[in-house]
Amino acid sequence: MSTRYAFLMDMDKCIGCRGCGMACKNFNQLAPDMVWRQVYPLDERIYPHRDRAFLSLACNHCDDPACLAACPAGSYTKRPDGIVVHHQETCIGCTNCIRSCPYGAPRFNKVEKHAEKCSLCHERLDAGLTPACVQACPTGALTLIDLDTFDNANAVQYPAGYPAMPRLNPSTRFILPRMPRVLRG
Amino acid sequence: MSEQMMSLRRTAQLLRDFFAAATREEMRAAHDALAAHMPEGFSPSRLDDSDAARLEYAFNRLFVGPEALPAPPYASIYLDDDPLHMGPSTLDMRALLHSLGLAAPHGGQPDDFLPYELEAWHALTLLLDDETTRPAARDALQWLCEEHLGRWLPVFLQRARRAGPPPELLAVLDALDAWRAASLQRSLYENA
Amino acid sequence: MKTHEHLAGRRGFLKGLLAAGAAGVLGSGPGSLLRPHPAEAAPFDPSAYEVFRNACPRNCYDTCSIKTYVRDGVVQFVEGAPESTFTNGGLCVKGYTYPRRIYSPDRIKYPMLQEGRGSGNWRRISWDEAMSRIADKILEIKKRDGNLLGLGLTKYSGNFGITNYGVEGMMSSLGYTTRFVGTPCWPAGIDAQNYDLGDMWCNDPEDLVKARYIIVWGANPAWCSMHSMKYLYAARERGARILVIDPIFTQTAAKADEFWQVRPGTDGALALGMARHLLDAGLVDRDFVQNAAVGYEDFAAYLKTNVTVEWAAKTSGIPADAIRAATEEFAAAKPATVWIGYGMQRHTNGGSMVRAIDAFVAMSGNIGVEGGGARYGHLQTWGFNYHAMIQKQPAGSVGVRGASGPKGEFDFAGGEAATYSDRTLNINKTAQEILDARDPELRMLWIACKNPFAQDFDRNKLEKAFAKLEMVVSVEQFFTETVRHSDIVLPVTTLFEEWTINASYWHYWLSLNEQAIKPMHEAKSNIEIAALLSRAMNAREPGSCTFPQEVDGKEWMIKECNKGIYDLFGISSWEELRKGPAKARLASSASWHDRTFKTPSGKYEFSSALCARNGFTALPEYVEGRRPDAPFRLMTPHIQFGLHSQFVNLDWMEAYYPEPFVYIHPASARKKGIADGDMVRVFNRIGEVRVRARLSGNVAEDCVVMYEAWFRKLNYNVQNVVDDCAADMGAMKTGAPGVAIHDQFVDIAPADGGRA
Repeated sequence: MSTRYAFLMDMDKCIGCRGCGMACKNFNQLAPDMVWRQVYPLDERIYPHRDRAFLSLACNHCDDPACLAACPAGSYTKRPDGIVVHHQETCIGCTNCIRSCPYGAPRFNKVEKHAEKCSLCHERLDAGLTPACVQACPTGALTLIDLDTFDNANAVQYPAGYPAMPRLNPSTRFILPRMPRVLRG
Repeated sequence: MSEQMMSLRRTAQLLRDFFAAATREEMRAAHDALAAHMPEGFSPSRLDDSDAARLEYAFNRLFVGPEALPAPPYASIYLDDDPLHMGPSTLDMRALLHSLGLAAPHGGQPDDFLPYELEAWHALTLLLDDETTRPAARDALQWLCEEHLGRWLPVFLQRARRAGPPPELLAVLDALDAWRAASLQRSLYENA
Repeated sequence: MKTHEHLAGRRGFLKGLLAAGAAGVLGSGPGSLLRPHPAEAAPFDPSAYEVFRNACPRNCYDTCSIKTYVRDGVVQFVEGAPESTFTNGGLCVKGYTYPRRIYSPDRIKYPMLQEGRGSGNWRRISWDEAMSRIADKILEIKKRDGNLLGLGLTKYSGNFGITNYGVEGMMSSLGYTTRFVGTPCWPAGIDAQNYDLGDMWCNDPEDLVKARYIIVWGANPAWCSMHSMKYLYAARERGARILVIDPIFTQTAAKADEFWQVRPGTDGALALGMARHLLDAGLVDRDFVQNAAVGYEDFAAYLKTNVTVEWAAKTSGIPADAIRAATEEFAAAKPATVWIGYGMQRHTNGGSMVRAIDAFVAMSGNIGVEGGGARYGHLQTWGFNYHAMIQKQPAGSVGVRGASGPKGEFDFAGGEAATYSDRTLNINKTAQEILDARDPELRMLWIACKNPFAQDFDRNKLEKAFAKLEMVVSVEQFFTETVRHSDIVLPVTTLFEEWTINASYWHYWLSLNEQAIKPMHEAKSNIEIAALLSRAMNAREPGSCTFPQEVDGKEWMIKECNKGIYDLFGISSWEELRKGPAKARLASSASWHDRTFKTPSGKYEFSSALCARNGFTALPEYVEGRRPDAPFRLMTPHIQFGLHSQFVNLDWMEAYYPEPFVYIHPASARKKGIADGDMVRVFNRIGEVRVRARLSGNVAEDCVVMYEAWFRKLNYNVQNVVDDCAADMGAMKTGAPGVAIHDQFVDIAPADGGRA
């Protein structure tokens, strides 16, 4: 049995609390201005209530990662379970990966002069735990799935506001947000 | 041991006393002793009461609190990717202190407090005098110069100077800078 | 996960090669026999850490149970305790910043003395000197006035760990003093529920999953009780319908099936309209109103005479057919529940609105029902000994003649039978009370677990009030505006540096808080500070302070526990909490499940004689709200990134919440010539705030919203424009009425030419 780990981001359950991103900073001890997971409010043209629906995005652990292809230092590897790992210790800080990723997943650490990105907490997965962001999500909006067995007819790969990159084939899947009936006084 | 080294040791001790000072009187005494030891740049060399008060307020504003500090006198703030206390650089210093058989006076005071680092440097230079401890002391001093104290002191000094210290404090910062330039270079220990 | 190799074990040249990126430079060239070998990180190994049990002691529904991972005596990271089904392994965005708080270089490190309040001329002083100065001042006041009423304490919810009630204990141990009593938080609703039910006692929030219809009324759990959201979702997955009623289209509203944007302050009319429709449609639970309640007939008569659904619709802005439909669905769903938020009672008619909602839920037969209930809060799990709080006054102490009322909702000391008592001043009018205090004047103020310049109302007036004080002592972790206005600041421990124990006013879990690390710098816990003060007092005047001169935090935590607590939580000793938090053993997840109410009649009281005696109407009648004196209503609720003035000042939080806004409806902004992102002035007769505007249809056209917060780098304070107008209820159970935080009115205009 093979495994292809991926994030399932349920926008219908997401409350935009940023707990996922902060749990990531907390466990991975990121520099103050560094984020591996960012929470983006949807544009009002996509969801009509401002700041009330979100994309929580980290690395999408693509099938064919642009970062890996662009890295001249061999600092990216893809594990058999689908996780795209960046090795900071061999990174030369050329920023090719940052420029090639359409999702903005790798970011530049100005102090240490290297790129860094979401590891899908593979050290935690290897210890039988869930990623820090998944453990933190209070509503179950962020979960870890195995694409080889994942089967949810409501899930989409390219929600509005998220770049469609079929060549890279990003692994993240999304559930779209619903809207309440609104009565205004 | 050279006369220069003797003098640098004395300077390190006086700088330690200055940056560890908690009260106006301790600060004034440390300032005046430094001025006596290396008069250049110190004017006046003995502080009157109003100078001492000004020095104390500025010292606390830059290094102590309670307001957010422009130049905290702790290594980890400058050396770690994270400007926090008790980071990797603090633990480096703790390991060095422990290897010297020393420790910070109580658990809550970070080990990489500038006065402790000056004292550690002082202790290491004493070990240079002994043949058995000399190689290890030399390695540790080289680490201190190139990877630790020698790396963060320039940034610390820059930030402290930028915070607009009064002349009494600026003189001490200059003295620290001069000591740094003379003490924190590899060549000084290579032949030791 | 970053790993750190210490100097002692470091192999210099290996590290050097790695740092230089040698592997990247070499690559795997032609003819090479070697293959690239990226270093694989070892799996995360929890056993490499010491793990401690902690609890988040902030004023929050969720009061999370924390697991703290410590290595080398340093907190490395924190996570939620998985043993609590409520915390469920995850903290919130605030909780995950805790390591930043402990190790921030901005932390206050030493006792400091400011020479000239506001001058910025600070001297470092020893704990002994700080306590000497404070003790001298206290004794001087006592000598001058013949009592200690010139010494005041203002403290509230900065740290709800039980041993921190030792601050109140410290004051009692000095004599009869002045206490700022009441709470800006939830008092009107507390009194309302006491009139109706005899106590504030909510169902276990985990039983929300059993509800078939849920109204979240004036609460925003998506931001303020995130861990409750999973129960709302689970209920919905089981078929429940969720209606959110709020003046703001909150994040919780976005997750509901239906949202009603009610006109602020008219929730009472809406609830009464719903009650009237229960009556009209024959949906009243006859068994409950006849057998478990008193005063129902009077209330029904009031509804028939004074309330119509059309009137409720006109008043609240919610269409009559929607009111009828929702009422019928609510009544048909068994069980159905209302979560009554604290926001809704922060009005001049707040208590009356809570009573109206209680009455609606009671008529529908959902009181005392699992998955039902009019949920507000509870203090059922707070039966500690209050060992730290209950201290005896020194012999011969003189105070105000007679017994005092409650000193807050957490005052478990009971009524004093003594001849003398403390002087009580209204915490919600701190500035005015300081200005008005006479015989004696308030001379000295001790501030702990509170930041008056961020929380107290009418900031400009507070400046004047503080100028009157002879000595201000604040116990703090960061340089807040309050510290700037202090003479002496004392550094206090974070939750990781002290022992205590924590309960929640919402869920039913109990958490141990172990000391995980040594206190940083010279920080001390509140009870250690009290002991030091006692030492200084007794050295000067033996017997002048009864507080023990030595305390052991762990011993004192144990002294807070008793058999009642152990039995309630089904544990034999506090040490069991080291294995994880414990949940109260409840006979039912429903409050009032045996329909024995704590009212004078023992029944649910639609008509409360006690309420009438206290100056209100016996029935939950409609009361009109505060009249506007400026074009826009201002609301200043909570944001998910901070709790009052805590958390927003931390660097990590700045990565997600760098700047505050005033939220204004696009149509109103257009009329005012304000574009998205413009700098604006929000102002009224007491002050102004300069802030950037964010245009949002989430707020009504006649409303603007600013979230309360303290930013370390910004001069932003919503209390500049929030006055100290009182809410209706609260005095009975908390000692002072609440405050009408959401009955505030402002105007708004572009500032500095708008686009700054």
